[in-house]
Amino acid sequence: MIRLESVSKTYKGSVSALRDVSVDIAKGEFVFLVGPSGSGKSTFLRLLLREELPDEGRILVAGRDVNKLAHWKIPYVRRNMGCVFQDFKLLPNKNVYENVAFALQVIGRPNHVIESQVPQVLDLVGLAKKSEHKPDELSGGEQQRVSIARAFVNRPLILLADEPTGNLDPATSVGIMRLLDRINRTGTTIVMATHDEGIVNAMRRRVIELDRGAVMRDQERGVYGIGS
Amino acid sequence: MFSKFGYFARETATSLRRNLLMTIAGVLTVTVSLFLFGGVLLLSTMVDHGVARWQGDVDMQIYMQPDATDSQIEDVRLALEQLTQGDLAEVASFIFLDKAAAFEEFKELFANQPQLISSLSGPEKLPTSFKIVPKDAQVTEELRLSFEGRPGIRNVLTPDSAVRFLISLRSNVRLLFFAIAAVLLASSLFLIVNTIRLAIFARRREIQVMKLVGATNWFIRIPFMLEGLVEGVLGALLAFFGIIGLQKVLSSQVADANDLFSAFYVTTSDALSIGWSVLALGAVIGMVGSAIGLRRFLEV
Repeated sequence: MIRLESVSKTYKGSVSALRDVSVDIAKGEFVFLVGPSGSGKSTFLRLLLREELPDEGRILVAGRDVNKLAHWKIPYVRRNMGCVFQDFKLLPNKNVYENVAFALQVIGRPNHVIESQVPQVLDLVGLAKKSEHKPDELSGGEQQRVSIARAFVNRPLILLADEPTGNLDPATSVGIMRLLDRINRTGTTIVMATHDEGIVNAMRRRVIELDRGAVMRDQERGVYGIGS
Repeated sequence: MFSKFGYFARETATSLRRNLLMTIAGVLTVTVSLFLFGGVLLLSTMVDHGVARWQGDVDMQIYMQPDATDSQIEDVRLALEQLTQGDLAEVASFIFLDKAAAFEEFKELFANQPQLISSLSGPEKLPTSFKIVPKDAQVTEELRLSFEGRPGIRNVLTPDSAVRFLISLRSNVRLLFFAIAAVLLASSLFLIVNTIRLAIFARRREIQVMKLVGATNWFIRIPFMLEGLVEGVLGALLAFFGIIGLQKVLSSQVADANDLFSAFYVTTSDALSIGWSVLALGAVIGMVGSAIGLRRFLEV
């Protein structure tokens, strides 16, 4: 599903963000990207989204070489990938329903699809009763559920999550992880960058550890850090 | 498909309303600059009509008597022929207008006075003439004196110094007004660019989300393009009505004026054709403005 072949990326005038990274992620896997700040986790995700190009190496997402993609095709590849962020990125002037529906509207889905899909996914994330609320009337955990609903409403093959629990307390984080786990079990591949040791250790999924841009460890059913 | 149109219309309207003051400023600048532009075109059309009447588009003209004989006409032709020959030639070129050609020209010059044309039943009563382009404007007076009084010649018309002055003034004034209009057009373009940039800035979160969920660039751009287009066309529409109004005012003033100025007429169809080009120009300014405004911000 996702394949990186000797990928390197250096930002102007700084240390390398990724160094010769080769990773293969199969369909339906749940992968944690761990490592300290600046280890290259976010760059990893941005390259998958084709927000940036690597200096070297090949990146394949769902069988396509995303770096060789014509400019106009990029949006269509992104429709296969849902994104969840630490800061939710919800639109404050739209309510829960509208925030989720927006993701379908702007890719030109017809109204009848929107009307059937949005309530379904809101039900999945447990917010069916709050669809009229604005984001600022929701707790952090609820806001993150809305953002997950928005990422998943188009049933993407891949869900990318960048520190999705970074702003949430541990109890709320557990709820978010249960939700991501449920989505993963529908066959969606999930790549999640995180600092959260407790979560990684509790989930026991594949762990890829990055340090200063290089892969230090790639372990099935891993824990956050060796000796932790 | 239908939901897309609804979406674009809603987004465009929301954005225009959110930046209401900038929208008004943009629309009004487009209006003022296009009105000035169209007004200059209208005025110079008027002057063109007037000058065409006075000057007849040639530097001088020899009118024969309506009953001049063929040999008298032939004499004048031979004399002019000689003046085109040799190093000291004073005439660059000349043409002979027979009665039919004179009638055509008459109909063209007095197009706004159909009763005058119908009162002249046919070409028979019109004089034949020679239109002459002298080598040098200085010799027109000399030529006039040498031809006037010959048998068969009724009179010789040379451009009046006042007309010559008017013609040179016309081109200078036109240039000045076009320069002002160009500056205003440029500033209305920049205002639209700025409005679009503000609109993009106001909606940067939405744009970020749209890109993340895979909206195409065109889908993101269209509401902004429409916003620029609406501003350009709205401004042009106001200018359009202004130009039509200006034509009405000018026409009524000319109709009240004496014979001399009745030559400076401008028709509703002149105003309409200027109005259409002003509308088209407004649309172009709106589209180009938003295209420039969008260029920097919407790279993937």
